[in-house]
Amino acid sequence: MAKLLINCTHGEDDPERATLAFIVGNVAQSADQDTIVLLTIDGVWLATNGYAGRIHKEGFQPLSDVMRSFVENGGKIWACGTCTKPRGITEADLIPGAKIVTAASAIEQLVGGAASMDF
Amino acid sequence: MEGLMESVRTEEQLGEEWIQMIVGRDFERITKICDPDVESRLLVPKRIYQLENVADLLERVKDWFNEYEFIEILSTRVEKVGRKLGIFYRLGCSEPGGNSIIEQQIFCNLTDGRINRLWLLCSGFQPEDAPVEMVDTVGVNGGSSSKASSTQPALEVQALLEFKAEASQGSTCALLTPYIKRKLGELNSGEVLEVRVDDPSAKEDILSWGRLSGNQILAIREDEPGQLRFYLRKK
Repeated sequence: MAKLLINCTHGEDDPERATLAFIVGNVAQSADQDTIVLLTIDGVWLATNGYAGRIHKEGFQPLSDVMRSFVENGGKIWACGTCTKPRGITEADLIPGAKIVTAASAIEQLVGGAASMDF
Repeated sequence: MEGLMESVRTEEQLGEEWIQMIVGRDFERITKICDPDVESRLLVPKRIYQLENVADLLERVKDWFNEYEFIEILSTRVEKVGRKLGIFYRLGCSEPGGNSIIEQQIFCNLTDGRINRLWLLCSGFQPEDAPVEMVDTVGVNGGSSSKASSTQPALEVQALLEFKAEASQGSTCALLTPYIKRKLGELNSGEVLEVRVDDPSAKEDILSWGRLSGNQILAIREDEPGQLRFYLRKK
């Protein structure tokens, strides 16, 4: 069961929010706190191949670097299935470390005690 | 978040947190470790203190350790002794006048994840016979070796990480601990990583990181204002 569930609802429309979700996740993971970044609404695009590489908010690391570090440190990326489906995103489109999950999976984490943050 | 930490930390983690509080000179942290009405009996070489609250205990601990520029862990042990938690540590302390060694042995009772009764036996600060020169560090990350002040105790280091805040793409808080995590991946359990950082805010980051991750902070040095060195033992 994860200790932290970080919800990110933004992609290219808000590079700062998109990046910060993974920065916080990466810092948590660096302290061995099991963390999931849950991507919902337009945030699900972040889980697709090549998308994050276009996002670099000034003053931050490039998003793709932060995401790679997050996954290398053991972090998990979940994309909301309800949000991927209408956007035509499938498992075949996802970056390493990401997977499509159901709402029940996220709720299970929260009920199990995971603290949550939203970006 | 601190409330969450207090509810989930084990008794052993709380003992480690006490030791880190001293080494990190993060004395206010004692208010998170102890109950506000903690009862303390402190046996030091010249007298016995009987204290009735955490504020008095904080003042006493600060009075003992605050003047030391550098505090280093020489040995620690945290374990249950029957129903009590035992916290034992020997520290090397240095100030411009020279080095001292101190050992303290604590037995305590806990309620709701905090210490509510505490018995402490202290050796007092015992002067070292002779100053110890610091050994060369091993710069496995391309870093140069160095010598610290001859008044500081020796620390054997297996790896070095240098973090320059200005050269990094983003803030220290976003990058430092992930870099440390990656660097620790190259070390074996028990080995020591030296981290050099030119950002004073790193101290808060690394103290929190140590409490969360369980890796031990052996010492923190500030040779020049804002130039910090952390010595971290991989768990």
